[in-house]
Amino acid sequence: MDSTFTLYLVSGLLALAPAAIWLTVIFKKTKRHGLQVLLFLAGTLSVIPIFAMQYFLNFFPQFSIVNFLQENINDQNFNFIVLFICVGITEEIVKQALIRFIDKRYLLIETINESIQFSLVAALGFSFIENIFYIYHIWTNLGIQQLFIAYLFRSIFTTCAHLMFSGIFGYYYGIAKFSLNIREQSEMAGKKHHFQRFLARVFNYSKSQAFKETTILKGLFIAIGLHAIFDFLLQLNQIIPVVIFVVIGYGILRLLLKQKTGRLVLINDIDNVRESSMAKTDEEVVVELLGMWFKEKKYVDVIHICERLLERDPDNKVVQLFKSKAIDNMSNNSIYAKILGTMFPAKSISISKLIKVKEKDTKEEKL
Amino acid sequence: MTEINITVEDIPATTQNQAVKLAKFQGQLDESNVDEKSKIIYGLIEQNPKNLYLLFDFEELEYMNSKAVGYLTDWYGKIAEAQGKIVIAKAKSNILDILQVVGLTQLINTYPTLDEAKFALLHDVAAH
Repeated sequence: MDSTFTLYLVSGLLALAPAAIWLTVIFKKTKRHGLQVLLFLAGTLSVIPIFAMQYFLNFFPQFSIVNFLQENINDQNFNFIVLFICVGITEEIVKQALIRFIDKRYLLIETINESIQFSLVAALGFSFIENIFYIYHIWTNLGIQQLFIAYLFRSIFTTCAHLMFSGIFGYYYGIAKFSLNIREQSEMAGKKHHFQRFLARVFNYSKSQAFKETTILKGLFIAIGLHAIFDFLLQLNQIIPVVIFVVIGYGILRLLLKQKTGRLVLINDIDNVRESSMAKTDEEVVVELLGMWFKEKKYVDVIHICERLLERDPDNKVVQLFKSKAIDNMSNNSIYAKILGTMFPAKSISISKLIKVKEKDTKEEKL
Repeated sequence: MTEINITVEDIPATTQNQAVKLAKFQGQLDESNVDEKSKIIYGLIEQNPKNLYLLFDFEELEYMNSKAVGYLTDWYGKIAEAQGKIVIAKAKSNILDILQVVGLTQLINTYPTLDEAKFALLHDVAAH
């Protein structure tokens, strides 16, 4: 058997180990595994445009940004930054295009968390192939002694970093996908979205379309930025900062996945949507009140009102979003809220507290 | 600006230290008038810091916006804290629907007639 083939085969098996571990973790928490396998395979193919680009640049070096930088700019750090931004842009654009394509074709994503998880699967596919080439390269150039540490580092940290970049993009893609309801909820809660409104006017977009596009771009820029920082630190051999960077990123990703809002199914089956039993104008008043009280951080009241309103209009996604965001904010702020509550007691009146006081008074009167 | 009239009249009290008032709402409470008109009720609360008994006659109140619901909650909180009481009479079904979903009907009793509301206000009677 050809030794190059054997080396690639062993590299493939080594690269498969971290991918398989992560896939098992993700599969435990998700459904539609068949589509995810497809997504993983498509992720592996997403290296093709990047290799094609490198191949093209080998033949036409005049288009190479690396050559251009080396010839024109003496500051090596600056060159690295620009180079890694370019690499980050290419890799992240390819990965996000893949997610968008598959989601449009198969309507894969129903929740923000699914958007994150499926982005992770695509990133694993990409990382798997990238790892094969790196393992092969290190093995053949530096020998098997150097391979062990490099393999461990790539399996744990580089794979994790790829998951982080794509996961964060997936989060923003999820928000963008459900922009209609999410924008409505956030505007009700007092957010103005001035930039999106400006874009909508300039490009003649609907507000929702402007919100969607800017959210996707925001996610992409963050993913590219993180990718560039990671590559830059790695290039400078800053291993400890890289490890801290990846651990923090992983923590952020876990926090995002824990959000109640992320688990909310935001796709409505039009054939099975139940009609509201409340008059539209009356419901609008209550939803406005939800926005007002959400802004004032009266989360307990918001949750109670949402529960009552959802009995009347169970498929209202904006109300569902208010409820889950209030729950998220309560759990996120619980410690800070207690401290702040002691320092600055709330002056506004909360219905839930008043109901508790009334119930207590009624019980005492009965006794 | 949408029209809203709030007229306040005294109701004879059953005990000496009570201030019993009937506030009659006519029109629509919306963004254009709610801040201004809410001052009438805040004025009553200020004038009667203790034992204020308020009967809101909502028979001719066509609409109340979210801010108005917020004010109603605030009035209830202030009055209940000062050993007073609020009841609502003759509210239209749309207003009642909003108050019920918000949870205010758990705090403020509502009555279909003015007489029942007056009686409940002055004697601790269970809501309908």
